[in-house]
Amino acid sequence: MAYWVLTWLFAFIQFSYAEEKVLAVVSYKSSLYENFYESLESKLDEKIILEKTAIADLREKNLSAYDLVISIGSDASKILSRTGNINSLLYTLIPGTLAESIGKRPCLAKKCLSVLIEQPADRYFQLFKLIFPRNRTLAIATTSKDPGYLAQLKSTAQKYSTQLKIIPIDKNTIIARSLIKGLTKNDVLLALPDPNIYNKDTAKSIILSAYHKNVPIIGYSQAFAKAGALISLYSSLDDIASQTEKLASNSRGNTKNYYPNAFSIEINRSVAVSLEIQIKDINELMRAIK
Amino acid sequence: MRKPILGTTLALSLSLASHQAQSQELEIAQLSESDFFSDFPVVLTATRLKQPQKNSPIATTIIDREMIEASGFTEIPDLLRLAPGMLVNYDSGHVLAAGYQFLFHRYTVRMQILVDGRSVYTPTFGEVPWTQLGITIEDIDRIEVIRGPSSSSYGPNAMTGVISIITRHASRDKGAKAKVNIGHNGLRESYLTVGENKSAFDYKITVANRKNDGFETRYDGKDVSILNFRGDYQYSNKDEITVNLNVNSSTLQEDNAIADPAEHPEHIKKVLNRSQHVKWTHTLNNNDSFSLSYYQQEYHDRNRYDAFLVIPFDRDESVKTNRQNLEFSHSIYSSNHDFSWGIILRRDKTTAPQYLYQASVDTIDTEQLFINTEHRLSERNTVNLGLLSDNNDAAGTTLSSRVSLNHHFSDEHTLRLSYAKSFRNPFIFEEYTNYYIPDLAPILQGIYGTDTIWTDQEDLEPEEIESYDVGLISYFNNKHTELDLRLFRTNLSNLIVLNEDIGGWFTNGEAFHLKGIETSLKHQFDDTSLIMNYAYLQPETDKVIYSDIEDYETGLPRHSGSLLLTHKFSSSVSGSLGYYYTGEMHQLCCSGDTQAQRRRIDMKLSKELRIDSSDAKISLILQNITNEQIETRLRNNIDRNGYISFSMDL
Repeated sequence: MAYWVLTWLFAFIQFSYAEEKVLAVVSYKSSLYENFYESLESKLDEKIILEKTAIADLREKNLSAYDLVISIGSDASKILSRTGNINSLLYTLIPGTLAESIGKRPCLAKKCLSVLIEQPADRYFQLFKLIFPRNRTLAIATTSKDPGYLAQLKSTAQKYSTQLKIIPIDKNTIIARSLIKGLTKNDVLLALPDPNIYNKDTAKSIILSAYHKNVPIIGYSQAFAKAGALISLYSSLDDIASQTEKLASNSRGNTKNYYPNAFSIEINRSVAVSLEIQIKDINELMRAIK
Repeated sequence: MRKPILGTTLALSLSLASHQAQSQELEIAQLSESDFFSDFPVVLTATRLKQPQKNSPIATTIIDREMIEASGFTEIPDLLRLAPGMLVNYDSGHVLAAGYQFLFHRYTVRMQILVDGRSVYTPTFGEVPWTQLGITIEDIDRIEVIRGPSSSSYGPNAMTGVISIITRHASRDKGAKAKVNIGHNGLRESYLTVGENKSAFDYKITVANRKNDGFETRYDGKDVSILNFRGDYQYSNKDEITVNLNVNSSTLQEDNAIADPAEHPEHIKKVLNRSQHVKWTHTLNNNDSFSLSYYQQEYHDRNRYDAFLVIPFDRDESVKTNRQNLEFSHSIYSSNHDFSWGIILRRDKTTAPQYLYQASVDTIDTEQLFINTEHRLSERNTVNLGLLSDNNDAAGTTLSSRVSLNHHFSDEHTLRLSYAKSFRNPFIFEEYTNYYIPDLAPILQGIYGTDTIWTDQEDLEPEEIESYDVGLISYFNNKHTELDLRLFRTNLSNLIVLNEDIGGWFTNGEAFHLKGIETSLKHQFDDTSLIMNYAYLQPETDKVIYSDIEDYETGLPRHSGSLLLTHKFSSSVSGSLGYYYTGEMHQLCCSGDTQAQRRRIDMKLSKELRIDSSDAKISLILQNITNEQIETRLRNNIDRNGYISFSMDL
């Protein structure tokens, strides 16, 4: 009897500590991916054996030997989405555009999941309502002409009883000038990712012009608040790594694309004081945003 | 094992990216992780931000781009009429003067005038060459009028206040834009601005020519050419270098409306004004930045002509000045405490063949150290403290100070109590006077017993001002209505005055005090905005030496005010109505002579157009439409004036 109990216990312990082999594939060597990998590595359970490789060295790896392959970044994800012989594939740190594009093709692995960089727009609408509960219009500039996208923006605005102004931008014009022309003093500009509008070349003139029009900006990356936007809501590398870790530890969900559950908020207090906008404590804001 | 997240949230959530993927395959490649994790250049450094009015230690009026556009003014000083207590006057068609609360003559306006932080008054006489600033109205982003002694932040000469002109960042004027103004009285103005972005470098070039015939009965026309360049180079995400270069060349008709025409015959003078200004701003983090700036400016007024007084003589009123300024400032902002400090080193050099004939000194060096803090004691109380130590060759060392307490009754209502002490250092001509005309010396010696017209006979001390201030800043109607009220008592002492007799000199000692009230009301309807300003002054003389008591008692306007009403009739048509009033006050020309109250009504009607897919705008501007006699000397009555303005993006 004692023998059987010991054998069962031993088997149970062995099962409990069954090691899982995970391969992380980074797009290329860069501090962005290195930092992300380090963050992910620190979060993963001890029973997970994590290896790292770059796309260039992928041929040397037998992908079927890994329980899970995590592709970090767009380039790695594009290549792995076309590669077979993979048990489970988790794309992370990728924009929704790429996830949608990959999602249109059949998943060559047993299971394919994605962790996106972006935020669900709901969070921005909630943040807007928390800072400006009344009498302000949320302005969104976009080069997109997709009626589905515009309709969804409007329905989200309706859901949060938000007055919404969509400023259509022709990307062949002088972006900042067209955008600023569409803004009035009562507006708050929500910068959603659109590389035709918000990029290194245009950021300066948009932020400056909006500020001089007393129009605060809510940005989608930390860089916005640093550069002069009122506030940024974004997921840091650490936030996205946490989400990736959750899916790596348990990929039983049916959903294909996951937004990071965790997010961060950065307030540019100097801009807030200058524009005479009172903003609650960051923790209070984060608690209030579902 | 944890629960998978989002689930239903995903169904409701959206992102621009995912929808672009469905419809615009081409754009997919453009969005990458670097769009989310790359830094942008730091655009709004702490030093570039404006302090909210409710926390400001001093009354401040902002004249923004919309007000500038709506006013229809073509001369920069005229814009200052849109601030309470500001007085604007003309000495001739091209010589303008502006002062806060009083304006005894065109010189020593006792205000600091800054263009992008560059001090532009001339060190010789302390006047501001408004026509030769090297910028155009089109270049201006906004003007901040700081009403009250501000030497603790801006140094001596900011004795009664500061006018800070801020030009548009180069990144805001991309593309080409042309503007033409044509109107009465020989008004012909043309402007061309070209702006471009080359990677991290934004630049803008403005070329302009401005002409008019001056006042109807005078010889005071002008032909002014302006070339300026602004470049903003983002060296790294945390470093920006701004370069401003200005050249202004003017050909000006000169007369003298008061003196004997033989003594001051009509003639042409030429003025060249150039400046180079470079500023490096480094951001350490969101709330900590420093800047280092250097500028040099040259002002050369070539004004030499033949005149006659008993005998023909050579009159050389030329003045050449050079100012070099090096400034370091460091600002640290935190949630409840802002702090800035800095050092300024300045050298002013002047040559003036007849005004400073054998003056002992032609160069003045200045060193300044300043500290300004704003401490938010609680949600309701803010304390500001400012100190500036100034060491000047002409006036020794002074310590200017300011302290204020702002109590916020609520987010909408703030009470401000403040005290400030400021100084004005004597200008080179006041301190080292040596006004000598060689050809006339024997005659003057024969008649008056002295061959020098005015001379330096004593060491002057700085002028002093002390101000006690109570202010109320209130917002109503969801902040669509803004009220700024200021009650003050100001004591001016040690004022520098001139004994105008032949052989006379400058001396210290006159004093007067002012009590008054200023108010400014801004109201924004849907398509209409209204700005109203009013100032009431009650001066009393404390001590006179050479001046007449009447100079102080009645030389200042008791009442002054302005109103600017703008309305948008449709998406493309807008109009404005301006009303400007100044009570009886000194004429610029002549001590003791006053000019009657003046009213001026201006109107502007504009229509925006599309021409070949370019934005254009045509405006009709009527000035002084009731044809009242307005500003400047008695002979400068201008008639009703009007012009058409056309601008277009090229």
